[in-house]
Amino acid sequence: MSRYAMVIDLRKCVGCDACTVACRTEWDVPIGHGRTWVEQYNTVGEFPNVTSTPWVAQCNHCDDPACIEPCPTGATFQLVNGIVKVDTDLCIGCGICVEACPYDARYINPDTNKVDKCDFCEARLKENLQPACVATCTTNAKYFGDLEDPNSHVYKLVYEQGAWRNENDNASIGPNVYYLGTEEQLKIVREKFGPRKSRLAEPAKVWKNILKPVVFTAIGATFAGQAVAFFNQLRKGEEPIDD
Amino acid sequence: MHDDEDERLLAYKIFSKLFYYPDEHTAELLLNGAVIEFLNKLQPEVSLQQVMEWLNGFAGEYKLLETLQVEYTGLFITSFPTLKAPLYKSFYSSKELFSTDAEIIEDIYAENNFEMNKEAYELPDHLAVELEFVFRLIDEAKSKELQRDFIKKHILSWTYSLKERISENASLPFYPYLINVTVDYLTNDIKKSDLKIARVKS
Amino acid sequence: MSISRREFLKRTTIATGALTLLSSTKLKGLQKRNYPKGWKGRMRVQEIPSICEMCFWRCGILGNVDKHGKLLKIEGNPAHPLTHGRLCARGNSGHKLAYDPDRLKYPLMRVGKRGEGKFKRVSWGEALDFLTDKLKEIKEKYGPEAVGFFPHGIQARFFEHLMKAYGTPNIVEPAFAQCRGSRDVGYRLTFGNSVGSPEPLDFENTKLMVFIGTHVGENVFTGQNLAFAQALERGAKLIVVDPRFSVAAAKANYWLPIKPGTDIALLLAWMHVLIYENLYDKNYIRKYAIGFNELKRHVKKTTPLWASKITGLPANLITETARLMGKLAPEVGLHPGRHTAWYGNDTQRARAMAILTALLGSYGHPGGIYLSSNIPAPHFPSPEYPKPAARADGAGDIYPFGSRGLGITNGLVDATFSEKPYPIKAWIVYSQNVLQSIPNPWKTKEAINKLDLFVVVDVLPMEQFLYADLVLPEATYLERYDDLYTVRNAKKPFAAIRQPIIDPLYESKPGWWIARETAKRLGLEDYFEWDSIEDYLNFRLSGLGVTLKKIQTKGIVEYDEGKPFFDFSNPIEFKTPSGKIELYSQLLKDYGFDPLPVYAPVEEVPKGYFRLLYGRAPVHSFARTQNNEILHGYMPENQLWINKQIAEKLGLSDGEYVRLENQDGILSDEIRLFITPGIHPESVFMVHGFDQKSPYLELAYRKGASDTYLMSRVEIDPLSGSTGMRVNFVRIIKNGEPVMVSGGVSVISEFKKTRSDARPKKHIIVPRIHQESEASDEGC
Repeated sequence: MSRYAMVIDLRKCVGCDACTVACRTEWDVPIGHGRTWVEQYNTVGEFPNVTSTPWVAQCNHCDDPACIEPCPTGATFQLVNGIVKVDTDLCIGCGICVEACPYDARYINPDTNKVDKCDFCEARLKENLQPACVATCTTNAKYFGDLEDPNSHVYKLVYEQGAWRNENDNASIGPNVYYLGTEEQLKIVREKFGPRKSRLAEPAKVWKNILKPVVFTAIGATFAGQAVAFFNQLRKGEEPIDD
Repeated sequence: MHDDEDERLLAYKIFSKLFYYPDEHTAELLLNGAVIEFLNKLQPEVSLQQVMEWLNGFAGEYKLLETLQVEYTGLFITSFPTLKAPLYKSFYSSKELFSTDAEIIEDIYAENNFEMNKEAYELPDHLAVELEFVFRLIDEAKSKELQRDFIKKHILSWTYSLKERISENASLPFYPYLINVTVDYLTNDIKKSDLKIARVKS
Repeated sequence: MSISRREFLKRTTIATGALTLLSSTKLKGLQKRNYPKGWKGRMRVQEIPSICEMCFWRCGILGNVDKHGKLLKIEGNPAHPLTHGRLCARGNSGHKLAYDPDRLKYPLMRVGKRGEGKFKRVSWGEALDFLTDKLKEIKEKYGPEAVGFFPHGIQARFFEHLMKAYGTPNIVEPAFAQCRGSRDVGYRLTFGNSVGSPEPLDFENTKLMVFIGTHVGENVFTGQNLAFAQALERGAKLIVVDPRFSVAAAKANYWLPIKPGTDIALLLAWMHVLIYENLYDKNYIRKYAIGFNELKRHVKKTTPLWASKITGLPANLITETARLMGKLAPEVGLHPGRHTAWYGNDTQRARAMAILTALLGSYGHPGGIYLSSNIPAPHFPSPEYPKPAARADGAGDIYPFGSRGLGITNGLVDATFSEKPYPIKAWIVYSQNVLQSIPNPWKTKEAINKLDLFVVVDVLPMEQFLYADLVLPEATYLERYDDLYTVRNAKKPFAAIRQPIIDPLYESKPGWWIARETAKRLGLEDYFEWDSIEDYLNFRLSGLGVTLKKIQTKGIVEYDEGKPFFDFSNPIEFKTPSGKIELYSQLLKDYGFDPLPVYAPVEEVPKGYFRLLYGRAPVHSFARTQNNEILHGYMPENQLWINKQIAEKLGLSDGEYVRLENQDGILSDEIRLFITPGIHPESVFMVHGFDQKSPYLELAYRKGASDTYLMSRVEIDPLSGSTGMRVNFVRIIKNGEPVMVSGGVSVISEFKKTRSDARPKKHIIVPRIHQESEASDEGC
């Protein structure tokens, strides 16, 4: 079994956006949105005593994803290897998961009206390629691999070098994108880029909740459609969530 | 029926030719009154007056040709201050040239045993090439549905915007006239063929 | 059975005369396919290796092409010895250049006035006839030297070859006078060799990297980024001297936010510490250098305390960094810089850096600067060039150390403008952007107005295109073969090929085709005696023992016999007049220049103004990529960096738009403020290449402000002729009124500490594999 994870070394990253462009062309991500994004200049302090760090983020494929339960159609699900995926056949573009994700890692693609986000380039993995962003990184600051494999580089970085998880009081759901950075860098990251509070009202987070039918009416779907969705999913051999 | 098809064959040929970059032959066609008369017969409701006045001002072909070429370059190729009215479908559907639309169109050409002539250096979704394709379909008496669908989906879907852009930006009366006749004719043409197809089916 | 409709033409209502005419109408866009039914397009679903040209580094790429021959995605070529399959943001966006709706599609001839932008499309035949008729006429009337040629990149080499065959000496590239010319002259005067490109820094073995104004990470060369990051990972130290807190500065152990224009003082003080604290490489200097005693005397008084007053840097910081260099020498990678046309003292500044490198013993030593190696790629035989007239740009006479190979762009602009030493009647601009790369564009425009012929060969309609008499659309780098690209500055030198990934779109043509067709019309076909471009490339590759076909799937051929370091056990001969490293340069003395670099103050920033600094961003190259859909999406306009404390005093807020007015009253377009503590208070900074003035560039047109258009003056380096461009001052205009600074916000007083690279305390997580209870049923 595998548990995929990524480690980003902010000490090496120069914030050059090669990764985000490679991702964009790999997946036709429209301008103005991103499956992954970079913030280059985050300088703090007073001249000349200043510090800064680049910041790179994407879907964290969390241990306990906040986006799966609220999805009304079961379009968002997680594979056993940890990859959180969106089935675009099932997605109705309601945007609930976008609100739910504390890392703002999801967006609604205006070309397709479906939710889109990083899937660790699952299609490339099947062809034995690294994710597009990792393959192109100009400073070799992004590592991808299997945390179940003690010989993998990410295993060493996470368990031996103590790579850091971007969690705080707002969200502590086991992100699987880890970071390496100097103390100064991680301080800026904690202040500026920590996860936010969920924007969903408490009850809306749970799929079997009473609110469900209301949401459904609002977006014009039916329970019949939901059943179809479920069976479609079964046919595809993906593991359905929550049942 | 045959008369109809002959007329269509000629119409698409002329439209296509006139939307390619003007050469000496284009000027010849325009100065020959019969071609303009033919266009006028196709769509008598589109006013010819301005074009006729403009054409009458030309004594020799050379002058007409250069004027047309400058107008064509400015309107369709590289224009000031922004691209005025490119003749590619992709530009209207995705703001990028050679987008997926162009590829779909090239596939349709291939399905019907045509390919782009490399020497012509054009992209598959250029209006003139599309019109030429319809001309060739008529010539080979290919299915009416195919013709109709292609015209609808791949020509008329964007030529209304093109028509607006041309009438806003043209400095001569010719291209606004041409696009009006073309669009009107194509619109009528698919209406007619819709009827025919319906008749055949029933 | 289908009967051709043509048989029924006679029945139609149209008059017979017109029918005859129409029967001769030929539509040529489509043709009948010769392929069997079921065949789906051109089956070319494959990855084709080539080299990038989104900037000048030419990294290895792989183009993913679909069955229509459409380029879907570009990735890095793993076989490339410097980039190892990695590729920057620009390289990843290259396909958007090919499919840019604004690109030049057909040859165009001007029909309106110059600058009016009115053209008609012409055929290549007409275009080249026009060009060659004019060239013949000019040659006859004024001689071939009346034609100026402005090339850029390997794609222009065939045309350059043609221009030399035609007989003009006036071939000029901004790569010299607007970029790295002064640096190469300075290093050549010292070591007998220029540094070249890419900078041969042995970051693999270095213990300390020193950047002076070099912004690796923002000025992206993928190979250098990679080597830089890996050196950091290995634990190499980093010193960054830069008035701006660059990305590299943020990673540095020491950031020295120097007062702009005072580098030579810092360099002299560093030398002082190294020499007077006996930290320099004595053995290396004794064996290989001359002029040490003169140097020692020269830097006797240039103490850190002295430099501290000039540079605004604390004296102890200067001493500490010098000692670190001494301690880690010779494995010190002192980056020579790249664009160094700053203050007009740039060759001397480069000399100071070269001398410092010599004191550290790191030139030709592992961990320092390595040496170029030759690569055997013979030139295709062609007749000798005719002996040209004297150059008009001043290279080699007015500017004694100016390059005769690359020429001096601004020198040729001056000559065209003044018609001295002789009139220049035509310019052919090839892949250059003369109005954005050469400072003082007004003068350039006036020079263009004096021309009888102005030809632009390009891919996009840049501003210069508005003035062109003839425009030739070149195929993009994705659509053509180019000359063989040889890289000597690699430990294993290599050659890379550029080959077409897609067919040229529209009527664009590759450079080799344009040059050869022009040559035929000029009667110079003897200079292009190869049968095909493949034939030409095969000849050049023969020296490496391979054929084009053999390397077409890899794109690269390495040459194993590089000699990157000196063999210190044998005598070393430097290519200087003395055969040694010249700390003291008699040659400079003979020409009346300072034989050792001297610090002379540059003009102070006038009250109320800021010094205008400029640089690069990782998502754009020069003024070349602003119209690229993806890159424009990332950075549609540039911003003006301004110091936070100053901005607060001036009541400016982050993100607001202002204009800039330079010392000569020239006003910029609107630019957004980026307020940051990371810039020296007396300067402002913007990324170069914005505010494109060509309305034909739909995305880039008039976004941000142009640094070039604020450079109404330059300080010319008397040695190299290069244009010092950081001598322009700007003030901020808001609501039509200047925003005044009352007295400069001064000095770097409390320098608290050097930066820390401390890692956070280890927060060890137990591997999941050892957490047996969870391992079995995790999955969702």
